[in-house]
Amino acid sequence: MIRARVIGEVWATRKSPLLDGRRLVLVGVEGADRAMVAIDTLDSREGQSVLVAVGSGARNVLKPGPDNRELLCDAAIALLVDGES
Amino acid sequence: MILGRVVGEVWATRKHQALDGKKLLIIEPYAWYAPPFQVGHLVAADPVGAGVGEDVVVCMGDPARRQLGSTSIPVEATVCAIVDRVERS
Repeated sequence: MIRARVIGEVWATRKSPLLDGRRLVLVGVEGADRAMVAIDTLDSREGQSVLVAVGSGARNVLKPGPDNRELLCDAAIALLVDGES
Repeated sequence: MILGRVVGEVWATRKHQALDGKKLLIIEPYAWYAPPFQVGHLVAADPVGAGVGEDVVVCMGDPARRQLGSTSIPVEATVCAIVDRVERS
């Protein structure tokens, strides 16, 4: 997983049916000048610090495996950070 | 997934048979996630129907191939959504 901060929400009408009902958010990667799009199931808000699961593990956020390989997801918010030390 | 802009389309007659009927777009990412190549673009298959100048969300890797209905296709990026807008609450 990687640390990131929510920048905004991505709206799309024309999309794969596999993304129907999914909330897409744009997140900025902490410590890097990069951003990525992740699926959000946790109702994150702009500015929220989050951990993003990436790669094949991201599908486990939406539905625990192994029966989840049909999901269209390579990045998903796994948790909203309350604090860290 | 990454956010990018469609800047072109690729046509080819001679190609891997698994790519038959697949539309291929040239995408300039706004930002990279784990760049597989150090270049400023990537080529993605497009089952959604995006056009040049549109912003798109591109999925990478195995989920991208499955979106095309096959895991044995030589593609590592697929357009999965055409962006209407990015909204900051």
